Order: sequence, then C-alpha cells, then structure tokens
Amino acid sequence: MLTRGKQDSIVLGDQITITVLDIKGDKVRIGIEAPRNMTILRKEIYDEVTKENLDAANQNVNNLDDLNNLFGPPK
Amino acid sequence: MIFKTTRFGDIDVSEDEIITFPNSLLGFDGCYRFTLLPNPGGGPVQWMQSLEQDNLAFILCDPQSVVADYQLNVKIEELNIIQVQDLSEAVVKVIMRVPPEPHRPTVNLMGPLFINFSKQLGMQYVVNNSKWSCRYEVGS
Repeated sequence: MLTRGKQDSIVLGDQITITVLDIKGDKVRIGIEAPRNMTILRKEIYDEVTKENLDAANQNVNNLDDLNNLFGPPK
Repeated sequence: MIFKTTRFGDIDVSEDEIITFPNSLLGFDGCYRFTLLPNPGGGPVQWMQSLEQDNLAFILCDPQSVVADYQLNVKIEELNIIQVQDLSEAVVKVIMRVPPEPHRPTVNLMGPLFINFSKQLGMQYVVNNSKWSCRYEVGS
C-alpha cells in the first residue's frame, strides 16, 4: 500500500503510471497512462463480466434445438 | 486432431478451426484455445468448446438476432490482440446463459467476444459504460 497526495504518481513496471489528479470529498480523480492495448476497467465491471462468464460456463444445456426455436426459422 | 469433450464426446478439429484467445476470457485464465462448433439447426447460436478443458463450453449468439441496435464505440487499437486491420474484419458474438425454466435465456452484451476468423484470434471486450447489460433477456 502507498499513500499518495494530489498530483503524486505511482509507476508500475515501465509502462504504467497512475496519478492522483484531484481529491474532492470522498472521490479521487485518477489518471492512468498505459499501453494502448491494455484493458483498464472499473473493478465492479470486471467482476460482473467475470461472474457472468462463470455462470454461463456452468450450465446444463444439452442441445441447441430449444434455443433455435427461440429465434424462429433461419432467415 | 482429436479433442475430448464432455458434451460432444471426441471431436475432430483441424488446425484452421482453432481460435486462440491470447488473453483468454475473464475468469478463465489459462484457457486460450477454443473451437466453434457448427449449429446443425442453422440458428444464430452455436457452441464454443474449450480445447484445454473438456467440460468447458460456451453458447455463443449473434447479437443482431437479439438486439437490433447493438452498437459499440470500439477503437481499433483496443482490438490489437486480434490483429484486425479494420473493424469490419472482427465478428462479434455474445455469450448466452440459459437459466432453468421458466426464465428466458440472457446474453452478455457487456462482455462481447470479438473474433478475427482469418487470423484465428479472439478476445473478450468489456464495454465501459453501463448502457449494455450482461444479462440481456432474449426476446426483450
């Protein structure tokens, strides 16, 4: 854990810099410099998609016929 | 090559039918290689079977069959992993979850899959805004 104040930064590896841009009340504005192809997400969204993937993987579907019927005859 | 699967028994998959997800799927670190199985019924859904875990498979769906206006603001550099030169080279699929009756199936519009079939690469993209649900009911 590190304690940083306004305008302070943290460097991760040699490609990522996190900066505390502003602090207002209980909200912190955070700036992130990272390679363009790196995914940056709010954790709650990351967790939501992870959980949804896990739920989707653990299901008892044996064949797709019922699902096909949901969509009607092929267009 | 023959791969063992729990749902489909042994399947024969040729090299050009393997899709590699270099960053795997969220929650499934270590699962990189999948194959899409054709849907004999011809509908917009199909299985995507893991080639590393015999009991792991996802149902993928064409999002346009579920949501007419599924537009994402994706920048091409966000799709670097799948090496597309143009956004039109990426095929979008969404993962379907089928809960027990009487609930309707849902699709994950928040974490779609982008696949570049010609390079056989895939990735899971996560949408950063809250417009799209990860449990969008089919037939909504």
